[in-house]
Amino acid sequence: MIRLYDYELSGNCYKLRLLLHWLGLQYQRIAVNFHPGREHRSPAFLRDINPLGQLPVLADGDFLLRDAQACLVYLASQYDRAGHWYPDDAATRGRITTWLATADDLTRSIAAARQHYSFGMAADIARCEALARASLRLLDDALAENQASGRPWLAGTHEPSIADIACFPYAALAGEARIDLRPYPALQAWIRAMRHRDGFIAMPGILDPAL
Amino acid sequence: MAVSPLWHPVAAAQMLRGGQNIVAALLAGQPLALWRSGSGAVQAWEDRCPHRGVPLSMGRVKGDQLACAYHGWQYAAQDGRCTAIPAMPDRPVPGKVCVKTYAALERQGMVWVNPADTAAGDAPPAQDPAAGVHLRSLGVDLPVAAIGAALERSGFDQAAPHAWRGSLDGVATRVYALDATPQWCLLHLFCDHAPPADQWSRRFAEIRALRDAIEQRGA
Amino acid sequence: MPFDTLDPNVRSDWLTIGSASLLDGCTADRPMATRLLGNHLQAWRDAAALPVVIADGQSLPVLERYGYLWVHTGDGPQRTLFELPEYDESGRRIVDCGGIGVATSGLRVVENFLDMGHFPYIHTGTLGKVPQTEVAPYRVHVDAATQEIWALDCHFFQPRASACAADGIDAQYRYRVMQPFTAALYKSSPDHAGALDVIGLFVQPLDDEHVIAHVLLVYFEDRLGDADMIAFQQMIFGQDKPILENQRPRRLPLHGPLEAHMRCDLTSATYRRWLRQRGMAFGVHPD
Repeated sequence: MIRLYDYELSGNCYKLRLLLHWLGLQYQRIAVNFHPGREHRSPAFLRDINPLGQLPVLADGDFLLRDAQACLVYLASQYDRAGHWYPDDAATRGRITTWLATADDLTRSIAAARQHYSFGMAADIARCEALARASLRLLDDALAENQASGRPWLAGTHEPSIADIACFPYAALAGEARIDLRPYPALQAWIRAMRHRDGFIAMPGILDPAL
Repeated sequence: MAVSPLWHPVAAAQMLRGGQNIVAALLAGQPLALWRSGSGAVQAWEDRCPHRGVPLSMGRVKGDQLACAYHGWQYAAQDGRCTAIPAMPDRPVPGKVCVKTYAALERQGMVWVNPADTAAGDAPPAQDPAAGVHLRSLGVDLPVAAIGAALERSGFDQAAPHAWRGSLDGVATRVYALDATPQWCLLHLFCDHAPPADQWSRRFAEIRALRDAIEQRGA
Repeated sequence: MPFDTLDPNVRSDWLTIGSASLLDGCTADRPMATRLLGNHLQAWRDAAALPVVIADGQSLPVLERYGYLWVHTGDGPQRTLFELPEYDESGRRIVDCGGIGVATSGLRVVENFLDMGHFPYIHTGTLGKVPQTEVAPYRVHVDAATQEIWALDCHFFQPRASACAADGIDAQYRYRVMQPFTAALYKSSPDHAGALDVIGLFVQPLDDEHVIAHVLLVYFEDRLGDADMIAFQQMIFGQDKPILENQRPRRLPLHGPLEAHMRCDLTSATYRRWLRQRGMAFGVHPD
């Protein structure tokens, strides 16, 4: 049984909830009291679950894996029968990996600012905003070109890949980091396209389109 | 016939898909919700539900109605009148509940909005429908007042209010500029023909280079 | 830096600065730092373990009630803090869900807390579901003795009314507004027939347009761990946050044509009238 050490308001945890759902996998959600409990920084969590004190952590049998992007790679490699989340093609995997790096920049910038405003965690807001805008512009540039050439997903694919899942949550939550998405029309169109994928599930802060 | 500068190029027409999406736009600091009803008519509304002030761009298009995300209140295309209040489904909706709407039309592959309440003046002319492919729209960190000079330094000439003509990668290109806020504007780029498949990347690289040049020169 | 308002509605009353547990490990040299009404505050426990709160080098009167800290910022007489008898009831489980920052007027946060019409749209699948959107008539009154607002006989179909709910129910609700920035929701307990679970909302106003919204659960519940109960509550609050942060104007309009009221908005209309009658200015949109 797959277990997910999870926090409801975490965009990084949501990446795995989304892929697990789209892969049709059963799993046990283990709620971690991130705020106000700071359980992810408790001695027990650091010792047994993740020495970095971060979420999400994925457990599959005895196999324990930290880092949202690493977990996306693992789940897609292990369970994606259709092979479109992490296509078995060197060039595509190379491109996907560049976007997994951008996802880390989004965590460092948008997620950090969001945690500052929501939970009072320390952050250099000016640096966060500069990195956020540079990352959002990079995404908008790539998506504008990809949309125009008929392969509208981040890694230039016809179907979304884990590159899209990795970058989606914090791009969509930019408003909570007090960043305006109106300068990025292609990015906004991509966010909408993700939300309207069959079987999409939302997270608090990302409006559920299905009603 | 002089085109009136009261018409502003807010979005590329193809970005609005009938009965589907709502584009959140900014026109001189005024938030707009742009959408196309199921029957195709483009709508430019104040981006604010008159119930509790929530942006309508967070809502949903349902045929010829727009539903607010907060309580599902529905508003009809064209006049913006409220037609349904789901919390009170059996009571008539008061006639005075209405979204503020603006005049909008489509020309040259763009959606133009006139935010003034007075007579609009001459609208931008139609364009030969065979001409014009929308390449992309993008934000530029420069106030619109500086855009003209920056575009001219990059080899573009002003053709009409908010519109410039020039060439990119040797191809005739139109640029429309929208005043979004005092800090940034939105540029919409069109070229006459779709580039061949092997030139897409280069064309888009040229667009990014143009943006970077404009931002640097305007700084 | 002084407090940025003279509004007696906030200066004469007790305002929360968060959970008492925030003082754990804090000393005069390493105080807890927070903000209130545009001012910076430091707090810690003294040698007698009593809370100390300082603003502008002056010590403020402080109460420790319901696991939370409450301060008084004015010069004049202090109002009495509201009563919450359920907190001390035997068998109750107290879960502090902590505070979440929101960029809007605290009055908007309270008004949203009192609203049911958004349940099927914002809390889809839990507190409501389309097409069960109708808000049935309910009763609202202002208590003559306490001047608190009460909304009674509220009910709404909820597919998943709480963290441990398995089936949809017609949830029975009561709402109470104790102060401009504090409210409580009483809902029928799934575990204890006839009893009411309490959700307390204590809003800490950082300034006119920024708050920390604290939520306290006073429940009869013993099946789920704290993390699961907090997750459910924060999910609900996290779903409200993008709505709250995007409402314009940020401050609450009390007069004029900016926002429409319908019969289903009875509690919100009563809340706004109550604020008008108290001369509320802080967090209010100037007309």
